Amino acid sequence: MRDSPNATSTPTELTTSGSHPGSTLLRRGLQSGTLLLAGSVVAALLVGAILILWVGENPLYVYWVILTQSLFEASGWRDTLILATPLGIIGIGLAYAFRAGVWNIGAEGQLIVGAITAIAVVSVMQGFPGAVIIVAGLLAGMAGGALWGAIAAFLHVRFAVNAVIATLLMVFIAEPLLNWVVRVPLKDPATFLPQSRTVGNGALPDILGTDIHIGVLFLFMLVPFAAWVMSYTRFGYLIRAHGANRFAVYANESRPGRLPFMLLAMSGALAGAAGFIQLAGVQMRVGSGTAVGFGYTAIIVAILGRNRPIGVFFAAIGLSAMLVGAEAAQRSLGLPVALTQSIQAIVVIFVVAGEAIEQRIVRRESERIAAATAAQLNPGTPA
Amino acid sequence: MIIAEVDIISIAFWATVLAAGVRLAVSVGMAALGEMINERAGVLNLGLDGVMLIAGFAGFAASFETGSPWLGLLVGLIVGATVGALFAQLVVVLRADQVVTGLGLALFGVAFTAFLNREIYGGGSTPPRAPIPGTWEIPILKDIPLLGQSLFSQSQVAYLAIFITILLIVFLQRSYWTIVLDAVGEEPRAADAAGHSVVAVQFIATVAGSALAGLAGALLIVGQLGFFNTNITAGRGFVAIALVIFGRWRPAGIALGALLFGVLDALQFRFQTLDTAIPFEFFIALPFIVTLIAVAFGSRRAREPSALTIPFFRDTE
Repeated sequence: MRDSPNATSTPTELTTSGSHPGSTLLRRGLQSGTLLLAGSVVAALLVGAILILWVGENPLYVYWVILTQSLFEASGWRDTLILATPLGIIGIGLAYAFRAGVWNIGAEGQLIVGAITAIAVVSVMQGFPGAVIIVAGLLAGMAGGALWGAIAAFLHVRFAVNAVIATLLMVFIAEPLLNWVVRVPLKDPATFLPQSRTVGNGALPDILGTDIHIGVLFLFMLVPFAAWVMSYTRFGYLIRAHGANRFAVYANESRPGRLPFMLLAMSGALAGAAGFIQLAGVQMRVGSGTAVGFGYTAIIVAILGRNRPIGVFFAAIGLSAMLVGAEAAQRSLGLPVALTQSIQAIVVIFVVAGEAIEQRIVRRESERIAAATAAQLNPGTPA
Repeated sequence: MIIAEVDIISIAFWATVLAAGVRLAVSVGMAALGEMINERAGVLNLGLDGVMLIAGFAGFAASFETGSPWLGLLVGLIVGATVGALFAQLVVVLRADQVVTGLGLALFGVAFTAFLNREIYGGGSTPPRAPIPGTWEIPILKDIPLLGQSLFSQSQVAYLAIFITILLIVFLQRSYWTIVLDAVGEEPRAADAAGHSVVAVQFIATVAGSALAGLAGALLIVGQLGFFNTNITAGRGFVAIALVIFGRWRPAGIALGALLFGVLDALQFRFQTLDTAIPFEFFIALPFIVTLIAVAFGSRRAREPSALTIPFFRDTE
């Protein structure tokens, strides 16, 4: 029994707060997280509006341009889907890792290495049919990304290096590696630019009747599969349990460190897959367009999707719509990309802040109920 | 004969490398010392890089507009403390997730300063330059072989950083408040029972840590470079977090780690221009590779503060 100073004064509150219709609606909104997410996004857009005003534009007009350019036009839809593909694929891997409490911040490096291994394999396989090259390239990309993730995982699991530090420092090693690879061993001798040869026959074909490459389908197949694994399999259960209490998992279910290792390698593999898809579907070469920050944006995608595959999917679509629209706004209105990136980071901060406030409300509520119940059970207890 | 010649060259070479190493260690070391303070109170600030950029940019603007780099450094310190107070409000008072909030701050810092720089200073490839503090050359001492150049012929900001480092080492060695700081980071319940407010100590430590991180950003941008560019810290804030682990949460160890990183960074610059068989990109990656290996060897023996990233709840709350 806890000594709560106001334990005797709350029984009436217990009954009133329990039956109040407004509060149940509020609570349902809080529980599902949609209210929180919507509130955070609106708050971030308001802050963004201040920045837009400062630049000298009308925020409503800018947001209208972003919305229409990304969602109300066919080309906008296409660009949104194509951009959402790498973000969503990486985001799902990160969501798995984050859900288990394993912080993979280095997806950018894993994507880079995935793209490098993919172009290396694709280059030597040019004689084969397209489908074979694509499958080989995808597998090579995944292997490269998984390798880069596994190095960080090895340092994390074997040497107890903080996962954030290990994965992130590996990015700073991957970037010079990329620069060297396109300058020396994989450089296209036909140009002076530091870039690789094109993927040639390894280019992803478009979905019939559209101009959207088939890599988008990878995301659409991955999302339900990842959601199923997370919710209905033993592996998914272990991930969720690891996030809640890793020591319980280590005591009963899994060798210590095994799950973090697998998750870092797996999220690396998905980042590598995204690296290949972006290479063979959009960029066509490895070069300056390879490392453009998808690995970092995908962190935001995973957090906004609240580490759930379905949520990640919508977060990826939403965020890439925002980016596509913002790029259009940048072309027509001269708005800097950094503005959009600032707003995205503000969304993240507001979401975690909102989550904390939400938990505080829930905690207060449950403590009040506990105190009130205790008071009802023991009416004679002194305050 | 040839050996002697190489020796003479290499002493001069190492003297300049060491001097450059001290210069490059200044900012990253100061940021790591700041991060150490809040981590010892149990607060992980992954947004260190963002704090450095925001405070560094503010400091640059102050320095550029007034022509006084020292004012710029002060502004960097104050803005760092302010950002730290906001961060502490989120993670200490509201108990928001430290990892996610810190990452948000890091991402925000890069994007927001890029935005401000573009709006205010055009954001071009030839950024405007602000004056930087000069160097102090101490006669006679600066001619000491090998070490003279690095210790007695440095930029004034380097002396400032060394002074603050020594101050911190002494203060943390002897102070009653060090015990309170460590108690809050190791055993917050005990600190609470002893009558110390865990929230207050964590808040103050986070503000103090961010103030030093802000100063670190200003030391780099205002004190050494004199100009601003998008993401000019290039991940130094994250290296600083690694250095805290390497230095095992002790100021002397962190200063040593910063020096090691600085010297490697200096070597990297020099090796890039040498015509070796090894590609220069390897040398760019080298400081990070060594940091990673050093942290790997340090992490097993190092024990982070027990309550790091774990929010504290009082029973009665």
